[in-house]
Amino acid sequence: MNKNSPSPKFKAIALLSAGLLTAACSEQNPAPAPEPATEARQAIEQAREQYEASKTAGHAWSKTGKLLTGATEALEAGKFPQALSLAQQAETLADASLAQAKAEQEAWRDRLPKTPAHKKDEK
Amino acid sequence: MILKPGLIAMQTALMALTVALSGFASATPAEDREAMRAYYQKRFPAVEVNAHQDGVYAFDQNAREQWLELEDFPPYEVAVDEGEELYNSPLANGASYSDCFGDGAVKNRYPHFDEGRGEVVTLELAINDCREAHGSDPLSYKSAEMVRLSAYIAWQSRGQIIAMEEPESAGALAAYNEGKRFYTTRRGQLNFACTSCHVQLAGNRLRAEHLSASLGHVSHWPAYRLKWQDVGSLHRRFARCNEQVGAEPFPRQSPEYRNLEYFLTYISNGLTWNGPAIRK
Repeated sequence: MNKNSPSPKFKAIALLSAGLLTAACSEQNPAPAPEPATEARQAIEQAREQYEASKTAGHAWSKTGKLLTGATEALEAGKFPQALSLAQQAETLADASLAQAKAEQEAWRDRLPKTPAHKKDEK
Repeated sequence: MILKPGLIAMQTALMALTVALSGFASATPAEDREAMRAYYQKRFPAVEVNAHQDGVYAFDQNAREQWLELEDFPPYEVAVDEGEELYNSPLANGASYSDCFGDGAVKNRYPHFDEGRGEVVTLELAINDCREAHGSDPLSYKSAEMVRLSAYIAWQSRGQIIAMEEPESAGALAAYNEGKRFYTTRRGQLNFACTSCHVQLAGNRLRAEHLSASLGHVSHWPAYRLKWQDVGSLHRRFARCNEQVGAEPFPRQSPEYRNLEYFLTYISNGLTWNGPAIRK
């Protein structure tokens, strides 16, 4: 046996490691990360859906629309991380405005003064 | 924005159904008005309730003095003059606004609930109805012409008492309750309802300005606002209020703002139509 060639034990370990590594990779097969442009575009679409829902509920917030406009402009300018960040902020605000709309479905009723007779009727 | 009558009737029917199903807003308009007047009487014991038609000038003496001085040479005068000229100009078929509104002293007819159309009709809507009936195109609700015409009509109507008929039909009550709901609903990123400032906090200061009472909010429009350096409409003010709390405003003369005007006018019954006015 050549003095410089790897020992059979070393070869076995190397083969086993390679096999295990290949098996692990093929088992997990992780989805490739979305392209930054795709990720930003999807975030904008998602935020826009929520924003439109808040408009339908009559509770749209002005900042949400501005953030969405900013996100769209950033996407068009190729500034994908910025577009993603703005879209995520827009979605957070749109979600909050929808939560407000839901809370206000009942909460508005007690905000006007009432006559003593009306208060009594309610009890 | 012109809405189709069929669509409006359907919307009103849906609103009426919602009211019936939810059984909401059990206070009648008359009870609301009585409660609001009693509330402001208690909150501002030194102010006669009907004096709230002058907004913060009813209780802020310094502001009142400045306002009265401005009234010596009122900045809305030009708008009234221009409105008069427009009022007397012929429409497309040669008729004029006087064929619809006589001498123009008609503020006390509006807003009202039109049962046939199934919606609240404001003065601005009636102006466009008049134009269309006489072959002219409707005006934009943001246009200077619309504001000046309504300024002239407000001037002609000065001194009339607000005496809106109590909403009684299902459609009228639904419109009233939608307006009331709008007024009391928190909106925008600041999470404020109209009532936050003009009921709960009325009389307090927001930065350097006093907050006025809800009564009289409709009596003095269109108004010359120093901030705008121009005469503007009540719905412009509604939109600005929405913007100030971070909410997206609704279009002028949208059903939302017309219903709001309808509610506010009813609770202001007994006050005087005193437009055009001057406000900060």
